[in-house]
Amino acid sequence: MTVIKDEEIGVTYRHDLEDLKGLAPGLIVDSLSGTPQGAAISIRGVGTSDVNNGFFEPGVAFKVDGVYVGTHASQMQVLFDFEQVEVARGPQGALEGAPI
Amino acid sequence: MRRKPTGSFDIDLRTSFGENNRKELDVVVNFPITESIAAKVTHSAKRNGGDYINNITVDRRENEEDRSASAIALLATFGDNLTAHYIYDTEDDDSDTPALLNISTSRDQLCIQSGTSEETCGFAEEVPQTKSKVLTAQNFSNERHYEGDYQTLNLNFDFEGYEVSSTTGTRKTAELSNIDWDASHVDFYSATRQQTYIQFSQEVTQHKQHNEKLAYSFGFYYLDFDYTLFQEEFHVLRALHNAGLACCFSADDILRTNSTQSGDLQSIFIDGTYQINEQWIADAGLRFSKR
Repeated sequence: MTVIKDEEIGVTYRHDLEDLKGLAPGLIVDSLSGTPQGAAISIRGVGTSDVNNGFFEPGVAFKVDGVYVGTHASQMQVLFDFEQVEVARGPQGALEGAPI
Repeated sequence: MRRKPTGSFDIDLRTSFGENNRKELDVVVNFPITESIAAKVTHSAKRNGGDYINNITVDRRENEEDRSASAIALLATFGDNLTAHYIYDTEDDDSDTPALLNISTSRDQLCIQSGTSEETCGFAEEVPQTKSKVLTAQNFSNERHYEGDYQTLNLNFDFEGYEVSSTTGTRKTAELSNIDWDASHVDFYSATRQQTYIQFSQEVTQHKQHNEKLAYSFGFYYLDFDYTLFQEEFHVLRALHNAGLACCFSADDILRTNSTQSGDLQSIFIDGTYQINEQWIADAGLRFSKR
Protein backbone atom coordinates (compact mmCIF):
# COMPACT_ATOMS: atom_id res chain seq x y z
CA MET A 1 0.00 0.00 0.00
CA THR A 2 1.36 3.39 -1.02
CA VAL A 3 -0.10 6.33 0.90
CA ILE A 4 0.17 9.80 -0.61
CA LYS A 5 -0.57 12.32 2.15
CA ASP A 6 -2.18 15.71 1.79
CA GLU A 7 1.13 17.44 2.57
CA GLU A 8 2.61 16.01 -0.59
CA ILE A 9 -0.46 16.86 -2.61
CA GLY A 10 -0.56 20.39 -1.24
CA VAL A 11 3.12 21.34 -1.43
CA THR A 12 3.43 20.47 -5.06
CA TYR A 13 0.56 21.60 -7.19
CA ARG A 14 -1.30 18.41 -7.95
CA HIS A 15 -4.67 19.33 -9.24
CA ASP A 16 -6.30 16.04 -10.02
CA LEU A 17 -5.71 12.32 -9.92
CA GLU A 18 -3.78 12.35 -13.17
CA ASP A 19 -1.08 14.42 -11.47
CA LEU A 20 -0.31 11.52 -9.10
CA LYS A 21 1.37 9.53 -11.83
CA GLY A 22 4.83 8.53 -10.72
CA LEU A 23 4.14 8.80 -6.99
CA ALA A 24 3.23 5.14 -6.67
CA PRO A 25 5.13 2.36 -8.45
CA GLY A 26 3.41 1.12 -11.57
CA LEU A 27 0.51 3.58 -11.35
CA ILE A 28 -0.77 5.06 -14.60
CA VAL A 29 -3.68 7.49 -14.65
CA ASP A 30 -4.93 8.92 -17.92
CA SER A 31 -7.94 11.11 -18.53
CA LEU A 32 -10.64 9.74 -20.80
CA SER A 33 -11.77 12.11 -23.48
CA GLY A 34 -15.50 12.15 -24.07
CA THR A 35 -16.20 10.97 -20.54
CA PRO A 36 -17.15 13.39 -17.75
CA GLN A 37 -14.25 13.42 -15.29
CA GLY A 38 -13.31 10.04 -16.70
CA ALA A 39 -10.12 8.26 -15.78
CA ALA A 40 -8.39 5.17 -17.12
CA ILE A 41 -6.34 3.75 -14.26
CA SER A 42 -3.77 0.99 -14.55
CA ILE A 43 -1.66 -0.47 -11.79
CA ARG A 44 1.25 -2.77 -12.50
CA GLY A 45 0.01 -3.45 -16.00
CA VAL A 46 -3.59 -4.25 -15.06
CA GLY A 47 -6.33 -1.89 -16.10
CA THR A 48 -8.29 -0.46 -18.98
CA SER A 49 -7.15 2.27 -21.30
CA ASP A 50 -9.22 2.20 -24.48
CA VAL A 51 -12.73 2.98 -23.28
CA ASN A 52 -15.33 4.76 -25.36
CA ASN A 53 -18.08 4.63 -22.77
CA GLY A 54 -17.48 6.07 -19.33
CA PHE A 55 -20.27 3.97 -17.83
CA PHE A 56 -18.35 0.74 -18.32
CA GLU A 57 -16.95 -1.02 -15.26
CA PRO A 58 -13.29 -0.15 -14.71
CA GLY A 59 -10.55 -2.74 -14.57
CA VAL A 60 -8.99 -1.20 -11.47
CA ALA A 61 -11.26 -0.59 -8.48
CA PHE A 62 -11.53 3.01 -7.33
CA LYS A 63 -13.04 4.16 -4.05
CA VAL A 64 -13.93 7.59 -2.64
CA ASP A 65 -14.37 7.74 1.13
CA GLY A 66 -14.65 3.98 1.17
CA VAL A 67 -17.36 3.75 -1.50
CA TYR A 68 -16.56 1.86 -4.71
CA VAL A 69 -17.07 3.86 -7.91
CA GLY A 70 -18.47 1.42 -10.47
CA THR A 71 -17.87 3.56 -13.58
CA HIS A 72 -14.96 5.28 -15.29
CA ALA A 73 -16.95 8.51 -15.14
CA SER A 74 -16.36 10.70 -12.06
CA GLN A 75 -13.09 8.99 -11.20
CA MET A 76 -10.88 11.98 -12.00
CA GLN A 77 -11.12 13.60 -8.58
CA VAL A 78 -10.08 17.18 -7.92
CA LEU A 79 -7.54 16.94 -5.10
CA PHE A 80 -8.02 20.27 -3.35
CA ASP A 81 -9.79 18.79 -0.31
CA PHE A 82 -8.16 15.41 0.06
CA GLU A 83 -6.51 14.02 3.18
CA GLN A 84 -4.71 11.22 1.43
CA VAL A 85 -4.75 8.91 -1.56
CA GLU A 86 -4.05 5.22 -0.99
CA VAL A 87 -2.81 3.00 -3.78
CA ALA A 88 -3.19 -0.74 -3.14
CA ARG A 89 -0.78 -2.65 -5.31
CA GLY A 90 -3.05 -5.62 -5.32
CA PRO A 91 -4.31 -7.68 -6.81
CA GLN A 92 -7.32 -8.85 -4.83
CA GLY A 93 -6.70 -7.69 -1.29
CA ALA A 94 -8.43 -9.28 1.67
CA LEU A 95 -8.81 -6.20 3.85
CA GLU A 96 -11.89 -4.96 1.99
CA GLY A 97 -14.80 -6.49 0.17
CA ALA A 98 -14.96 -4.29 -2.90
CA PRO A 99 -13.50 -5.81 -6.06
CA ILE A 100 -10.05 -4.27 -5.64
CA MET B 1 -10.11 10.01 1.20
CA ARG B 2 -11.34 13.55 1.67
CA ARG B 3 -10.72 15.69 4.73
CA LYS B 4 -13.32 15.51 7.47
CA PRO B 5 -15.06 18.61 8.84
CA THR B 6 -12.68 20.34 11.27
CA GLY B 7 -15.26 21.65 13.75
CA SER B 8 -13.84 25.18 13.61
CA PHE B 9 -14.74 28.05 11.33
CA ASP B 10 -12.34 28.34 8.43
CA ILE B 11 -12.41 28.99 4.70
CA ASP B 12 -10.04 27.68 2.04
CA LEU B 13 -10.40 29.36 -1.33
CA ARG B 14 -8.37 28.69 -4.45
CA THR B 15 -8.98 30.11 -7.86
CA SER B 16 -7.07 30.24 -11.10
CA PHE B 17 -7.70 31.50 -14.56
CA GLY B 18 -5.80 31.69 -17.76
CA GLU B 19 -5.88 32.01 -21.47
CA ASN B 20 -8.50 30.40 -23.63
CA ASN B 21 -11.25 31.18 -21.16
CA ARG B 22 -10.02 28.75 -18.52
CA LYS B 23 -11.41 29.36 -15.04
CA GLU B 24 -11.27 27.26 -11.88
CA LEU B 25 -12.68 27.83 -8.42
CA ASP B 26 -12.36 25.57 -5.37
CA VAL B 27 -13.78 26.59 -2.00
CA VAL B 28 -14.11 24.80 1.34
CA VAL B 29 -16.03 26.23 4.31
CA ASN B 30 -15.84 24.52 7.69
CA PHE B 31 -18.09 25.54 10.56
CA PRO B 32 -19.42 24.04 13.81
CA ILE B 33 -23.12 23.39 14.33
CA THR B 34 -22.97 22.16 17.93
CA GLU B 35 -20.14 20.97 20.13
CA SER B 36 -20.51 17.47 18.78
CA ILE B 37 -21.54 18.17 15.16
CA ALA B 38 -19.24 19.76 12.60
CA ALA B 39 -20.16 20.70 9.06
CA LYS B 40 -18.33 21.37 5.83
CA VAL B 41 -19.48 22.73 2.50
CA THR B 42 -17.33 22.45 -0.62
CA HIS B 43 -17.80 23.70 -4.13
CA SER B 44 -15.60 23.19 -7.14
CA ALA B 45 -16.23 24.80 -10.51
CA LYS B 46 -14.18 24.44 -13.64
CA ARG B 47 -14.55 25.88 -17.09
CA ASN B 48 -12.36 24.82 -19.94
CA GLY B 49 -12.66 26.94 -23.01
CA GLY B 50 -10.29 27.25 -25.87
CA ASP B 51 -10.89 27.16 -29.56
CA TYR B 52 -10.84 24.39 -32.07
CA ILE B 53 -9.58 25.16 -35.52
CA ASN B 54 -11.04 23.13 -38.30
CA ASN B 55 -8.23 21.86 -40.50
CA ILE B 56 -10.26 22.11 -43.65
CA THR B 57 -12.32 25.22 -43.26
CA VAL B 58 -9.86 27.06 -40.95
CA ASP B 59 -12.98 27.93 -39.04
CA ARG B 60 -12.36 28.71 -35.37
CA ARG B 61 -15.04 27.74 -32.89
CA GLU B 62 -15.15 28.07 -29.15
CA ASN B 63 -15.11 24.94 -27.05
CA GLU B 64 -17.26 24.84 -23.93
CA GLU B 65 -16.76 22.50 -21.00
CA ASP B 66 -18.32 23.34 -17.67
CA ARG B 67 -18.17 21.26 -14.54
CA SER B 68 -19.36 21.95 -11.02
CA ALA B 69 -19.33 19.71 -7.97
CA SER B 70 -20.70 20.50 -4.53
CA ALA B 71 -20.72 18.59 -1.28
CA ILE B 72 -22.12 18.87 2.21
CA ALA B 73 -20.47 16.88 4.98
CA LEU B 74 -21.55 16.38 8.60
CA LEU B 75 -19.37 14.81 11.26
CA ALA B 76 -21.10 13.88 14.51
CA THR B 77 -19.39 12.53 17.60
CA PHE B 78 -21.47 10.71 20.21
CA GLY B 79 -19.49 10.23 23.39
CA ASP B 80 -16.14 8.48 23.07
CA ASN B 81 -17.47 5.54 21.16
CA LEU B 82 -19.37 6.54 18.03
CA THR B 83 -18.63 8.86 15.13
CA ALA B 84 -20.87 9.32 12.11
CA HIS B 85 -19.66 10.99 8.93
CA TYR B 86 -22.28 11.77 6.28
CA ILE B 87 -21.45 13.23 2.87
CA TYR B 88 -23.82 14.33 0.13
CA ASP B 89 -22.23 15.02 -3.26
CA THR B 90 -23.71 16.37 -6.44
CA GLU B 91 -21.95 17.07 -9.69
CA ASP B 92 -22.93 18.47 -13.05
CA ASP B 93 -20.88 18.32 -16.22
CA ASP B 94 -21.72 20.01 -19.53
CA SER B 95 -19.74 19.78 -22.70
CA ASP B 96 -20.26 21.21 -26.15
CA THR B 97 -17.37 20.37 -28.42
CA PRO B 98 -17.28 21.55 -32.02
CA ALA B 99 -16.17 19.33 -34.85
CA LEU B 100 -12.48 18.65 -35.05
CA LEU B 101 -12.79 17.67 -38.67
CA ASN B 102 -15.51 18.39 -41.12
CA ILE B 103 -15.76 15.67 -43.71
CA SER B 104 -18.10 16.96 -46.26
CA THR B 105 -19.33 15.45 -49.47
CA SER B 106 -16.77 14.70 -52.10
CA ARG B 107 -17.95 17.62 -54.21
CA ASP B 108 -17.71 20.00 -51.27
CA GLN B 109 -14.29 18.63 -50.37
CA LEU B 110 -13.01 19.23 -53.86
CA CYS B 111 -14.24 22.77 -53.75
CA ILE B 112 -12.91 23.53 -50.29
CA GLN B 113 -9.48 22.03 -50.76
CA SER B 114 -8.94 23.77 -54.04
CA GLY B 115 -8.88 26.96 -52.02
CA THR B 116 -11.42 28.65 -54.18
CA SER B 117 -14.16 31.03 -53.25
CA GLU B 118 -17.86 30.40 -53.17
CA GLU B 119 -18.29 31.93 -56.57
CA THR B 120 -16.11 29.30 -58.20
CA CYS B 121 -17.78 26.47 -56.34
CA GLY B 122 -20.77 26.40 -58.52
CA PHE B 123 -20.83 22.65 -58.53
CA ALA B 124 -20.93 22.36 -54.74
CA GLU B 125 -24.11 22.18 -52.75
CA GLU B 126 -24.94 24.69 -50.12
CA VAL B 127 -24.55 23.32 -46.62
CA PRO B 128 -27.84 23.92 -44.85
CA GLN B 129 -26.34 24.74 -41.46
CA THR B 130 -23.82 27.31 -42.65
CA LYS B 131 -25.65 28.57 -45.73
CA SER B 132 -22.32 28.26 -47.45
CA LYS B 133 -20.74 26.09 -50.09
CA VAL B 134 -17.31 26.08 -48.49
CA LEU B 135 -18.05 26.04 -44.79
CA THR B 136 -19.29 22.67 -43.65
CA ALA B 137 -20.89 21.89 -40.33
CA GLN B 138 -22.00 19.07 -38.18
CA ASN B 139 -25.57 18.03 -38.10
CA PHE B 140 -25.46 18.82 -34.43
CA SER B 141 -22.66 19.47 -32.01
CA ASN B 142 -21.15 16.88 -29.72
CA GLU B 143 -23.12 17.78 -26.64
CA ARG B 144 -23.05 15.95 -23.35
CA HIS B 145 -24.81 16.49 -20.06
CA TYR B 146 -23.88 14.45 -17.01
CA GLU B 147 -25.38 14.51 -13.54
CA GLY B 148 -24.39 12.62 -10.42
CA ASP B 149 -25.78 12.37 -6.89
CA TYR B 150 -23.86 10.45 -4.26
CA GLN B 151 -24.39 9.77 -0.57
CA THR B 152 -21.89 8.27 1.84
CA LEU B 153 -22.32 7.33 5.51
CA ASN B 154 -19.35 6.18 7.56
CA LEU B 155 -19.95 4.86 11.09
CA ASN B 156 -17.12 4.01 13.44
CA PHE B 157 -17.64 2.60 16.92
CA ASP B 158 -16.27 0.07 19.42
CA PHE B 159 -18.16 -3.13 20.14
CA GLU B 160 -17.02 -5.92 22.43
CA GLY B 161 -13.39 -4.95 21.98
CA TYR B 162 -13.66 -4.65 18.20
CA GLU B 163 -13.23 -1.50 16.17
CA VAL B 164 -16.25 -1.58 13.86
CA SER B 165 -16.38 0.42 10.65
CA SER B 166 -19.48 0.62 8.47
CA THR B 167 -19.60 2.32 5.05
CA THR B 168 -22.86 2.79 3.19
CA GLY B 169 -22.89 4.38 -0.25
CA THR B 170 -25.35 5.23 -2.98
CA ARG B 171 -24.48 6.59 -6.41
CA LYS B 172 -26.89 7.78 -9.08
CA THR B 173 -25.53 9.02 -12.39
CA ALA B 174 -27.17 9.92 -15.69
CA GLU B 175 -25.75 11.05 -19.01
CA LEU B 176 -27.30 12.34 -22.20
CA SER B 177 -25.01 12.75 -25.19
CA ASN B 178 -25.28 13.53 -28.86
CA ILE B 179 -22.41 12.36 -31.00
CA ASP B 180 -21.92 13.06 -34.67
CA TRP B 181 -19.45 10.40 -35.69
CA ASP B 182 -18.99 11.37 -39.30
CA ALA B 183 -19.14 15.16 -38.78
CA SER B 184 -20.50 15.74 -42.23
CA HIS B 185 -23.52 17.81 -43.10
CA VAL B 186 -25.18 14.60 -44.26
CA ASP B 187 -26.47 12.33 -41.54
CA PHE B 188 -24.15 9.40 -42.21
CA TYR B 189 -23.57 8.19 -38.71
CA SER B 190 -24.64 9.85 -35.49
CA ALA B 191 -25.92 8.69 -32.16
CA THR B 192 -28.02 9.91 -29.27
CA ARG B 193 -27.28 8.09 -26.05
CA GLN B 194 -28.97 8.06 -22.65
CA GLN B 195 -27.39 6.17 -19.78
CA THR B 196 -28.15 5.78 -16.09
CA TYR B 197 -26.18 3.97 -13.42
CA ILE B 198 -27.50 3.39 -9.90
CA GLN B 199 -25.42 1.71 -7.25
CA PHE B 200 -25.80 0.76 -3.59
CA SER B 201 -23.03 -0.67 -1.45
CA GLN B 202 -22.59 -1.65 2.17
CA GLU B 203 -19.42 -2.73 3.87
CA VAL B 204 -18.85 -3.65 7.53
CA THR B 205 -15.37 -4.36 8.86
CA GLN B 206 -14.35 -5.37 12.37
CA HIS B 207 -10.77 -5.02 13.51
CA LYS B 208 -9.12 -6.27 16.69
CA GLN B 209 -5.63 -5.95 18.09
CA HIS B 210 -5.58 -9.30 19.84
CA ASN B 211 -2.23 -8.76 21.56
CA GLU B 212 1.01 -6.96 20.84
CA LYS B 213 1.81 -9.27 17.95
CA LEU B 214 -1.46 -10.46 16.50
CA ALA B 215 -4.12 -8.31 14.82
CA TYR B 216 -6.93 -9.35 12.54
CA SER B 217 -9.86 -7.93 10.56
CA PHE B 218 -12.93 -9.49 9.03
CA GLY B 219 -16.12 -8.28 7.43
CA PHE B 220 -18.64 -8.48 4.64
CA TYR B 221 -19.44 -6.44 1.57
CA TYR B 222 -22.53 -6.06 -0.59
CA LEU B 223 -22.85 -4.22 -3.91
CA ASP B 224 -25.93 -3.81 -6.08
CA PHE B 225 -26.14 -1.89 -9.35
CA ASP B 226 -28.53 -1.20 -12.24
CA TYR B 227 -27.38 0.14 -15.59
CA THR B 228 -29.65 1.22 -18.43
CA LEU B 229 -28.76 2.30 -21.93
CA PHE B 230 -30.99 3.73 -24.64
CA GLN B 231 -29.24 4.60 -27.85
CA GLU B 232 -30.40 5.67 -31.29
CA GLU B 233 -27.93 5.40 -34.14
CA PHE B 234 -28.62 7.04 -37.46
CA HIS B 235 -26.82 5.35 -40.29
CA VAL B 236 -26.12 5.98 -43.93
CA LEU B 237 -29.21 3.99 -44.84
CA ARG B 238 -31.39 6.82 -43.68
CA ALA B 239 -29.21 9.31 -45.51
CA LEU B 240 -29.65 7.31 -48.69
CA HIS B 241 -33.37 7.39 -48.22
CA ASN B 242 -33.40 11.12 -47.61
CA ALA B 243 -31.25 11.68 -50.67
CA GLY B 244 -33.67 9.67 -52.76
CA LEU B 245 -30.88 7.30 -53.74
CA ALA B 246 -32.27 4.14 -52.24
CA CYS B 247 -35.54 2.51 -52.88
CA CYS B 248 -35.48 0.01 -50.08
CA PHE B 249 -34.73 1.95 -46.95
CA SER B 250 -37.23 3.88 -44.90
CA ALA B 251 -36.78 6.97 -42.78
CA ASP B 252 -37.12 4.70 -39.77
CA ASP B 253 -33.87 2.92 -40.48
CA ILE B 254 -32.50 3.76 -37.09
CA LEU B 255 -30.69 1.28 -34.94
CA ARG B 256 -32.21 1.48 -31.48
CA THR B 257 -30.53 -0.17 -28.52
CA ASN B 258 -32.34 -0.77 -25.27
CA SER B 259 -30.16 -2.42 -22.70
CA THR B 260 -30.42 -3.00 -19.00
CA GLN B 261 -27.90 -4.67 -16.79
CA SER B 262 -28.29 -5.52 -13.13
CA GLY B 263 -25.80 -7.14 -10.86
CA ASP B 264 -24.86 -7.72 -7.29
CA LEU B 265 -21.77 -8.80 -5.45
CA GLN B 266 -21.40 -10.32 -2.01
CA SER B 267 -18.12 -11.00 -0.36
CA ILE B 268 -16.69 -11.96 3.00
CA PHE B 269 -13.10 -11.45 3.94
CA ILE B 270 -10.62 -11.98 6.75
CA ASP B 271 -7.06 -10.81 7.12
CA GLY B 272 -4.54 -11.25 9.94
CA THR B 273 -1.05 -9.99 10.65
CA TYR B 274 1.53 -11.37 13.05
CA GLN B 275 4.58 -9.40 14.13
CA ILE B 276 7.38 -11.97 14.04
CA ASN B 277 10.09 -9.52 15.08
CA GLU B 278 11.00 -5.90 14.47
CA GLN B 279 11.82 -6.60 10.83
CA TRP B 280 9.29 -9.19 9.77
CA ILE B 281 5.49 -9.26 9.67
CA ALA B 282 3.51 -12.24 8.44
CA ASP B 283 0.24 -11.41 6.70
CA ALA B 284 -2.45 -13.81 5.55
CA GLY B 285 -5.86 -13.07 4.11
CA LEU B 286 -8.78 -14.72 2.42
CA ARG B 287 -11.72 -13.28 0.52
CA PHE B 288 -14.66 -15.07 -1.01
CA SER B 289 -16.76 -13.19 -3.54
CA LYS B 290 -19.86 -14.11 -5.46
CA ARG B 291 -21.38 -11.98 -8.21
